[in-house]
Amino acid sequence: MAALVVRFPERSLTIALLGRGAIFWMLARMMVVSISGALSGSVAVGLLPPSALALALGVGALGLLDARRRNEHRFLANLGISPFVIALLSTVPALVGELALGISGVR
Amino acid sequence: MTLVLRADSIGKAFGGRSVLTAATLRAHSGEITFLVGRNGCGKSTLLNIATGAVQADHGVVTFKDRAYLRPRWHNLARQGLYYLPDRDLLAPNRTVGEHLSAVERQFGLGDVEAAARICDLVRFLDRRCGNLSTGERRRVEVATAIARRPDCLLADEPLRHIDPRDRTLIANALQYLCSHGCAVVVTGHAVEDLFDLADSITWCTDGTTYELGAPVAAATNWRFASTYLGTARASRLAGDLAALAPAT
Repeated sequence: MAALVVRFPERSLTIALLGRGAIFWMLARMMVVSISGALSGSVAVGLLPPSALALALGVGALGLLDARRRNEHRFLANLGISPFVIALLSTVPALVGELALGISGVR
Repeated sequence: MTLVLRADSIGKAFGGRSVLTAATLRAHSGEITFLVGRNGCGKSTLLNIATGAVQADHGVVTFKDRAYLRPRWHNLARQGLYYLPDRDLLAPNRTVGEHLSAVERQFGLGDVEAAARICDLVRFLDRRCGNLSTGERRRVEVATAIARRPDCLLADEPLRHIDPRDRTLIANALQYLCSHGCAVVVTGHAVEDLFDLADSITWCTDGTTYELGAPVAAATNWRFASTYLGTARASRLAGDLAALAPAT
C-alpha cells in the first residue's frame, strides 16, 4: 500500500518543477503554432483534444529529461519523489494551459 | 542491534558479464559496515541494487521487515533509506542551503544547522554546489544525510579523492549518524580510515560476499589479506587495530 502513495516534493521544488513545465509548454506551443503556420499559411492556436493531450505528455517527458540533465533526479529520489511525480508536475501547466485554451475557444 | 536492510542472494549480469552471483548485504542499526573488495567486484552494483537504483536479475531486498523483489529507490527513501552514490547526488545550480532545507522541509526530521556544523559547511550555505570542490561536495552530500536522519545510509566511496581533514569530518559525520541508530554501509579503498571506522567488514569477491566480522578478524583472515589487503598491510592493520582495542 505504501508503494501506491504519491509523495510530492516540498514547496520550492514543486514550484520549480511547475515553472519549468510552464516554460516547456510555452516553447512547445510556440513551436507548434509556427510549424502549423508555416505549413498551412494561417496561424492556428487551437488543437484537437488528442493532440493537446499528446503535447502535454511530451512536455512531461521533457520535464523528466530536464531533471536528469540538471542532475536533480537522484536527490529527488532520496526525498522519496518518483520519476512519475516529476513528469506529472511538469505536465500540469501544459494540461491547465490546453484546458484554458480549449474552454476559451481560441482557434 | 536491529537488522534494517538485507539484500539476499543478489545476482546481476551486465551484457553477459556476471558481476554478482549470490551476494548478500546486511545493515544493522547503530553499526557501520564496510563493504570492501577489488575494483569491478560489484560493490557499487550491490549498493545500487539494495537501494533500488538498479534492478537485480535475482534476489530479494528486505528493508525494515518488508521484502521487495523489485525495490524502488524513492519507495525505500520514503521509509528511511538514504543513498549517497559515488558521484553526482547534488544539483550544481542549487545552493548548499537549498539542498539541506529541501531535505529538512520534505521530512521535517533533521536539523540543518547541526548538519552544516558537523560537516563544517556553515560558510558554504549560500554557495552553489557546482562551484564546490570534490571534498566540499562530498561533505554536503553527507550533510544532507544528517538532515534526513535516515534509518539506513548507504554511502558509495564517501572518502574517494578526499583530503585527510575532510576524511576526518566525513568519518565523524558517519559516526554521528551511527550513534543516532542509523545503519551505515560504506564502500571504498581507504582501508586504514574505514577499518578504524567500521564495526564489521563484508568482503565482496568472485560474485559473492563474505561477512568477516570485526576489522581485527578481517585483517587476520589470510585469504582476505592475501587477495585484497596484501600481507604487509594486513599485518600492519591488525597490529594497529589490536593497539587501539581496549585492554581487557
